[in-house]
Amino acid sequence: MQYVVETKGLCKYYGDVRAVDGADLKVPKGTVFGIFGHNGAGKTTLISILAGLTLPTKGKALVLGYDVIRESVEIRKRIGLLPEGFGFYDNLSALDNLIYLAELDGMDRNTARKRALEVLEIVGLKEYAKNKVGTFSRGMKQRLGIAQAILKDPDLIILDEPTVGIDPYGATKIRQLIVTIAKGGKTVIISTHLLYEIGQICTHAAIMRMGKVIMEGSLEELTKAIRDAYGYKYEIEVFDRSTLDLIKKDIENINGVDEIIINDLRIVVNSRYDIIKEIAKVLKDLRIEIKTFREIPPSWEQIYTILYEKSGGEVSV
Amino acid sequence: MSRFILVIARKEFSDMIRSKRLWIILFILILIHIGTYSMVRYASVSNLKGTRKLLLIRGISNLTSSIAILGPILGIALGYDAISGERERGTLKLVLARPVYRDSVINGKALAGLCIIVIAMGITGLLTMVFGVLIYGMSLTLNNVIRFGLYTLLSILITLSFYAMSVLLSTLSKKSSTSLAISIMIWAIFAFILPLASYMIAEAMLGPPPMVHEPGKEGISRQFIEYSRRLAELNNKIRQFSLITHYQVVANALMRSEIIVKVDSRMIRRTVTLNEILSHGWWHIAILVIFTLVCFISSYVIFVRSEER
Repeated sequence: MQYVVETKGLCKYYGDVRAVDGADLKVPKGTVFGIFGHNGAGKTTLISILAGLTLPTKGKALVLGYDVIRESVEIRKRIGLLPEGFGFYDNLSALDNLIYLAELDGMDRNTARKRALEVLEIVGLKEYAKNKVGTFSRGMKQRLGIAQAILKDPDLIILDEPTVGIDPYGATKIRQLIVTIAKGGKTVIISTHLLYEIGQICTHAAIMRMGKVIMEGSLEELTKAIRDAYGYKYEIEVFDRSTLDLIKKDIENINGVDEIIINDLRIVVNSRYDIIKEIAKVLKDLRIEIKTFREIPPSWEQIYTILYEKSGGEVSV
Repeated sequence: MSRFILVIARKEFSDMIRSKRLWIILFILILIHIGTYSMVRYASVSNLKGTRKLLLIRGISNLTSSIAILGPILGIALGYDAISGERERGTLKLVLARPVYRDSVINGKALAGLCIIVIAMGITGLLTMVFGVLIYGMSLTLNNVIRFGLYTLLSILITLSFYAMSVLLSTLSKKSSTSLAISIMIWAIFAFILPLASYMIAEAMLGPPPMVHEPGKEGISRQFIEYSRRLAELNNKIRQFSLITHYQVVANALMRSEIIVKVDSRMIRRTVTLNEILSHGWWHIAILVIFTLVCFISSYVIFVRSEER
């Protein structure tokens, strides 16, 4: 697998504060990669290092094959960044802001203008191109932030908390925009402290705690790892209450079943192993008409809680 | 020169030229010139003995003092938020996320600041020359043109030195309000507090003055004359801690063609040539140049070595 970001033992210390403390991370090409963690987990510092804004104290990091210490300019030529706490020149129009930034990306003025108009259209701000940024809402500024990140059509786009402080409607728009950009084959890294955002738009994720990456992988891998370690959960819904006991009795005999909970017309089965086939066989043999039968995957809240507790932290999601 | 320096300088120049601060200060400077024009016009028609010369000298002092006060204010107004303002707005991160070296950012800003100051002080210098010709009846000899050219360069230098200082403070400060407050404080010390406090400090250093008259003798006592001489000398030395004093000494000499020199341990005012002004005043200019360079180099080193969190 090709990785656009690879870090090994990456550290950044500010005096006694270990903002990033031995982070190992691999971001596969073409993924939407979420970096999740509490405030102060080290997400922003990690992103600053990857974007070449901050030098690591020790460790190694390669972005698009370039070393963050020796080749940060090469990295900045190829990535688009939406930093945390960014801002625009309020006295300039959206178009002028983007032209200036595109010129700093190395484009000549005419190309810069053409590209600025293109990205304004992508983010849905073309009709506001000549309006001063000072008049923009927070959501519009955030979309303009994404526009400046994609100005040079980069291979890798890094978005630090792209939906923070935005109303739900604006946040949904931005998430849709990220998904659209990612569909073009770009790798997108987003940092967030909103768990549901990971499930909504990411294909891969890493969880950070106290400067360390405590787990990373595809969402399927992460979910499977949690299931393997902490069990599986299935739900069967029936039409007839009298069938509940029959089903319960047969499922109890399946190896690995820990707990069966009956709730109204539903049976919830907790198991140590994946017993989806065995349950299906029981239901088939009983010839009982059922409404639904499904596996309940662990929620991101559960995954995070388990991982966070496992790594020694207290959870307050 | 890096292409990025020019892109940044062009944007900064455009911001500065559109800033209200620049136009307010230039407006005040022009008002002062017009005010001085009215005063000197009165002097030119006055027949009262001594009044004409006094008003002419006051007119020239007005012009040099207005630059000594407003030039630094212009420098501070242009530079106090050069870096800290970008940090506060969050625009610095967007700029530095691009393939731009940090030195291009500070060099671009310095270049834009230099251009604006040259234009602003150039306009002011030109106005002064026009008034010199129209009102003082100054003839446009090569010597006079050089004199006004040097005066304009000196005005650029004093403005630039405060610009460099405020850029340095804005590099060090997280907030523009902090760099503005410190810059204004330093300016106030140089412009008002030091000149006012210099006598007090000199007196504290020399101790209480001796008696003016020796008992039983007429006239001022020798000890008092010696004390006064030393007091004036020390006062001058203390004032030289102010950049504005260095500017004023040379600017007044250039504009009045007079210089204060030490003859037989006495300070006297006499008419001097351009060569004499430069040979006596070079070190005042050197101090302004060194201060400006030290501030710019320090800003450059600090900014290039810092990181954005």
